[in-house]
Amino acid sequence: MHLLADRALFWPRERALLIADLHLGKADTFRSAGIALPSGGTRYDLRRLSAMLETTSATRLIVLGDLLHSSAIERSWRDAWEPWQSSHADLNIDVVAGNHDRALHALDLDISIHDGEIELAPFALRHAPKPTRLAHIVCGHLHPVVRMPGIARRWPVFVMNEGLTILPAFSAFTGGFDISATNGRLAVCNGKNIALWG
Amino acid sequence: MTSRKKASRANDAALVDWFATQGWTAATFQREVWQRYLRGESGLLHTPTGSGKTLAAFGGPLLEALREGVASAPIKKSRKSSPSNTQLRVLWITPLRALAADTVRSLQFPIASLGIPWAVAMRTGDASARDRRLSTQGRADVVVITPESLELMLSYPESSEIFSGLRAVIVDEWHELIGNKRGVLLQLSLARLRKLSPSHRCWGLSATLGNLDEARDVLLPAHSSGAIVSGVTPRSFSLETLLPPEDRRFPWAGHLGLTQLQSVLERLSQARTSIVFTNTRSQAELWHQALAAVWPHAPETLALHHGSLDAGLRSQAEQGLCDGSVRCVVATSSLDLGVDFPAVDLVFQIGSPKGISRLLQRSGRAKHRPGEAGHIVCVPSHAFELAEYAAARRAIERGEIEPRHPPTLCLDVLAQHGVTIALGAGFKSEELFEEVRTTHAFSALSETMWRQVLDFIVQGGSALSSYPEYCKVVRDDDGMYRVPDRGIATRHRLSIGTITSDSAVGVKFMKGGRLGSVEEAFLSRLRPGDRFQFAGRTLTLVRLENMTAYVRIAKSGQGSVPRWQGGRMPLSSELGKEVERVMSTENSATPEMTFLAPLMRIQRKFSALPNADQLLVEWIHRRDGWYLMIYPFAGRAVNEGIAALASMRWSREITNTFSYAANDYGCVIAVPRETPMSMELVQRLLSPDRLLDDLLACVNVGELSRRQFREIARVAGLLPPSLPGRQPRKVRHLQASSGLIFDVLQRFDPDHMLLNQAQREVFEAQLDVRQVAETLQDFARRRIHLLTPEMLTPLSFPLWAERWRGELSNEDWKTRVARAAEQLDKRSG
Repeated sequence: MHLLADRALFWPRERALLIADLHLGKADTFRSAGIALPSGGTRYDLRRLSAMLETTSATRLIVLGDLLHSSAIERSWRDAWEPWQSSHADLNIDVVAGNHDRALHALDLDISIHDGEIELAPFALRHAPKPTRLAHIVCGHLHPVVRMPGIARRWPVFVMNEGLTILPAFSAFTGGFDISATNGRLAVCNGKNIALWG
Repeated sequence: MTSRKKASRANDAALVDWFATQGWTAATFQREVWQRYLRGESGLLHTPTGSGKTLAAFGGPLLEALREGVASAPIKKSRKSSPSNTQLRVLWITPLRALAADTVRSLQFPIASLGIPWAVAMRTGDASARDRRLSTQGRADVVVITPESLELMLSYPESSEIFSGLRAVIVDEWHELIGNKRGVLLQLSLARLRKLSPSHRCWGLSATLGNLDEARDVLLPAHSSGAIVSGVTPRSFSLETLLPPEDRRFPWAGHLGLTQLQSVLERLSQARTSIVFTNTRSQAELWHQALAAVWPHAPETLALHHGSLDAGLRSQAEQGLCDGSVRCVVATSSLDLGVDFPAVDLVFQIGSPKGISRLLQRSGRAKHRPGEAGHIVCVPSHAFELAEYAAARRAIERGEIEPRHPPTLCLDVLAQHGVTIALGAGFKSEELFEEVRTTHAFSALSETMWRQVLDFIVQGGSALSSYPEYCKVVRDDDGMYRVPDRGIATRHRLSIGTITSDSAVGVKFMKGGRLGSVEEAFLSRLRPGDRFQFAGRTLTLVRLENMTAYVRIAKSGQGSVPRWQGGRMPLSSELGKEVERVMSTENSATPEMTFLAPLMRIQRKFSALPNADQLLVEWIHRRDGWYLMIYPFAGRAVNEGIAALASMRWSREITNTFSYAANDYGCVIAVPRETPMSMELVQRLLSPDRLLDDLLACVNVGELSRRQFREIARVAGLLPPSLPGRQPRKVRHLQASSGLIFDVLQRFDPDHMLLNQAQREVFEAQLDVRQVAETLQDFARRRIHLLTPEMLTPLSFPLWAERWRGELSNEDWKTRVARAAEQLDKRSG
């Protein structure tokens, strides 16, 4: 497995790109609730995804949950998603349903939906972490970020432990949960670079 | 003239007589305000609290009621028989909820005593159900209200009728509002009231300010010739410092001051009733905890008072101060204002006074009777605060006092007000535009800006195509702007106001008693079973659910103390300059400077004393980096602006990473890699030339706008409301930090009016460009005194201990992470 600086994992054996927490249509949810956020975030995230699919030549995309942000069906994010998916017609998309994905089954998106987890030895790919397992768990859900002394802002981070790897949230418009170096080996990334932390 | 005087004497005879029956004499300024009111005038009265200002302002409406023989229907009867909603005569606006209950009491007394059949209701966040009902149904004659609750009333369509019969609007403690966005919001509410009841009179009550004329003009934009009445002359004032024992090493930095606990306790025991003022809520909690541990009297005679405590606990403490059952209250600015406590003998100030007028106000809380001397005992938390006390005393003796400047063109506040009015009566664009332009804050509002605000609340932003499915304010076919969605209406009402707070979590006992609220960021770090210190108690967290922390009293031990964001108030620049003057001589007659003399000698030995003719700059090498220390004495905000500017200019010359920090005296720029230093370089970094361009460049690089955006996002309704103990389920999908929202706007709508506003506020309010420019001009006049001390000096040590406020780097991001990690290793290893 390779850690990529734009918040994804690449698995050469499976030619698969792994991301977590895409939260499609998050800004749409805000707008319809009367909070004026501009659109463009979904397209921006999908462009980042395209760029990584191209550099890795991945043929499979595995989303570790929270593909969608809200349970409400049909929003303007589909205007971005549909052209994107047709421009990647050969890409196999697997989604582990996350807690935000209740509406996913009803949407007919031409993706494979997995409830619970995908077992691909030696890994178990899930949305949320689960403590005791035989397979190494790869998951998302927590949106881990880290603060570093002397460097402003919080940065997305991969958390690597014995038997458990947590991906940072892929969407640029996501907050985070503060992680410290005592939580495991951390790899912090800023889109272009990746560095070990702690 | 004589006949006119006679006529006016007859005018207020009823009240003068009533004063006599109370054994009081009406003061000249009180009668002047009454008579001006009766003549239909509006104005501004400035006088210290406790001097009779309440009756000065309320007397006019009382006399008017007596003259007209007001016959108001008794409350109980009116439910069915009187459908009219126009009973409201007097609106009393107070900035602090804590003041409202006391104001209601002091208004009710003359009403009852004079036999006027008026109902007084309180309409604040703390109001009872009865009071809310009376005021929202228009069945109170006098309503005491906060600016936020007034704006909330305006969000209901009935408000137009309720306010239509208004005679008098009184704005209490106007000096607390004029300089901030709450005041801007109030200006907008007042413009609406002027429209709903054009003939009402408006009186402001204020402490003395450096800019009284401006204060009058902002409050009464329609009456530029409104009277300014001065009340009683300021009382004589004495300031005493509790000097630390000579033999003890006194800290150079810090903020608690607990080393002085024993001497404070001794003084407390000599006085009957005291208030101990602190600068922050955490400091108040810690001082209360420390005092409680050594308190020789009954435990219930020591109380705590701050803005995050539940209303019930706060009023218990206030009540205790009034009736003398409490000996000491540890308080924050929540007790600065208004409420009269004639029983208080002694007032303490823990730590920095921050400003001249603030110290005066606090000192006035003791022996709160006109004519008596104000006295305050100052307790330093670190050495240099001694110089601040000496400086404050000198400034007060010279009668110097800070001005408070009103902000203008706050488009975030205007956007919020627009939604509020759309929600209430609804509005037509042209009419509301004209109405808001009558205020001082928006008199320069252009049609383009107004269009931007309308676009923001109606379609999300200027480019409609960027905001599909947006829905908030809707324009009817008849051109009326309204809010049709009930969910949006509810969320907007919950978020009315301009005071930013982090997500607040309610703190509640398992059995139900409410204690107050703390910030979510603090509680999220605790696990069930962990202890923390709050409301003067050590509590154990039992569980956290639905934005409520359920707690019980901890059996033993100590807990961490929550910190509340916001509110590290800068030293006023007037006081800062005075501190520089006081420090420039090693020897001075004041006890404070005599105590400081050894420290000032160390400063002079290893470096030099600050001095108005030369600018002190220190370049210090330590194991962890190189530090450039500059001492403008201009207050934290301005010093930080200078730090940002100098860092940016430096980064043009060399490759390095520049971290900067500031305190009230100076600023520091730290670089991790060695670099040459010279006087010419310092001159280039601090040059007044190209100031604006350079500042603009460093605002783009820095985080200042992004941080400033937090308040703007909240005021403009870009963040979902956060309420202690109440988190509507639906809001969970709407969690985003203001920083993320800032990033989204910058990426996808870079011309957004609120991004421009963030930048403008950074310039005007945060960096205070005008003052930065003045300070740099002043430097250009001064000789630069560059020294290279071998160790941290007394002045540089507190700066070195400050948290970094900003940073810019032209180094590779990866290099910096690696170095930060290395440093972390060193520290832990």
